Amino acid sequence: MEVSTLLRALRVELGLELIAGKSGLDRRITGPGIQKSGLALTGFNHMVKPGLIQVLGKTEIDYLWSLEPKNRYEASNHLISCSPPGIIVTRSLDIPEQLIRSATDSRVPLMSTGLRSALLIESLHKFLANRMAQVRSIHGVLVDVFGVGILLIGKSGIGKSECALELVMRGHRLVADDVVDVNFVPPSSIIGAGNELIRHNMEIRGLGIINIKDLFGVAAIRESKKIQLVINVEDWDNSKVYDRLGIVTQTHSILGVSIPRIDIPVRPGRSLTSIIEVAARNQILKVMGHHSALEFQHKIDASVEHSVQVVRGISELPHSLPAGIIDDDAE
Amino acid sequence: MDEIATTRLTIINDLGLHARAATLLVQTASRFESDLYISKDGRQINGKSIMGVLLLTAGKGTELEMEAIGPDCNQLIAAIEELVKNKFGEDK
Repeated sequence: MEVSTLLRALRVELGLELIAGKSGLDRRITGPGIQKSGLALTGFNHMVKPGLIQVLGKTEIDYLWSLEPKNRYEASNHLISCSPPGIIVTRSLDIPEQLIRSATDSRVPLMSTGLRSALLIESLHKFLANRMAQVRSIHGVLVDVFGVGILLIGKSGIGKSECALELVMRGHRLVADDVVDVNFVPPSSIIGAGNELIRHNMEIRGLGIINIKDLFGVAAIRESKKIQLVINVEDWDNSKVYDRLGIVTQTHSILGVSIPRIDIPVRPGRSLTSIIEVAARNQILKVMGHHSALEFQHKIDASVEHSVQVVRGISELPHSLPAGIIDDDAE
Repeated sequence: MDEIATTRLTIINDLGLHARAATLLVQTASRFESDLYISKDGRQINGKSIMGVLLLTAGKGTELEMEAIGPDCNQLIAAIEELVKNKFGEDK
């Protein structure tokens, strides 16, 4: 990414101001990392990585000011000679003119912001990581159901788009149909979005291409969404064993990130849309720490354990029984 | 293990892979059981998806890599090759 792109995108948000080195705005940032390179000013600049934005905070600028004016240019040059794509000075600090001169001479964009270093580094890193993330296209439909990002996958013609349309009609939101661009955002998120060219258009067999935004309004769409659940829609296969309890957690790997996956077989009379809505609710519960299937299993296990003890003649209930069992027995 | 057939095709009709041509390609691919994946500039899409194929925005002279996976992959590739070679039934 060119420094000019960064400046244009974050000028307002981060209050970035270009101080010097305008002719070097075509320099390329090659990584999302950010360095705070105080030591480089002393000449120990081996660790300055090429292609990374350098941040100078209060300590570094104070250090420059503490030097004799004649030494400031040399100190600045130690950093500038590493040819970083750009340097940002934080807290709107007063910049020694020697640093400005050095940056201008070597065509290194020197910028200033009012933010403190910690905040700048955080925002900048987030922005760069987002922009430089790996992108891949996946064949599927991405919908936001009750705030859960669900990626529907499955072979062509199985009814993914039709199902997404029904979800939209029930008030959920479409992110992308058919081609979902996914990118990895560290540490472990996969963000899906529609391609700009076909964004929010959908192909429904028999109707052709429809525009969800025009038909249902802005509340029916979303630009991007983190993928939290993958639903694999497939033809009902009698020879396949489907998960009946929901205790086994299967995962689907996207760009190296494992995302929970469920396989849902379709058959006439099974409302895929309702199943997906419930899957979303279930996922919310799981995230909040309630695992319906596991809780059910514990309840059953405890009940079985209890009946074994009754047979053995131990009538007292163990204290570890989850709430609910005792009530059930009382009824 | 599924069979795989691949080919590299150049779009030669003047209009390129426009809406009608894309539809024809998708319809042809959908007649087969095998899956078809088409790549252009590192982006791979499903050849049975009209949106995906349109998204390729492949003009005249564009090179596309095709990969068919499945029992009838060779027939699928042959049908697609025929379609592209015949300029999707267009005059030029």
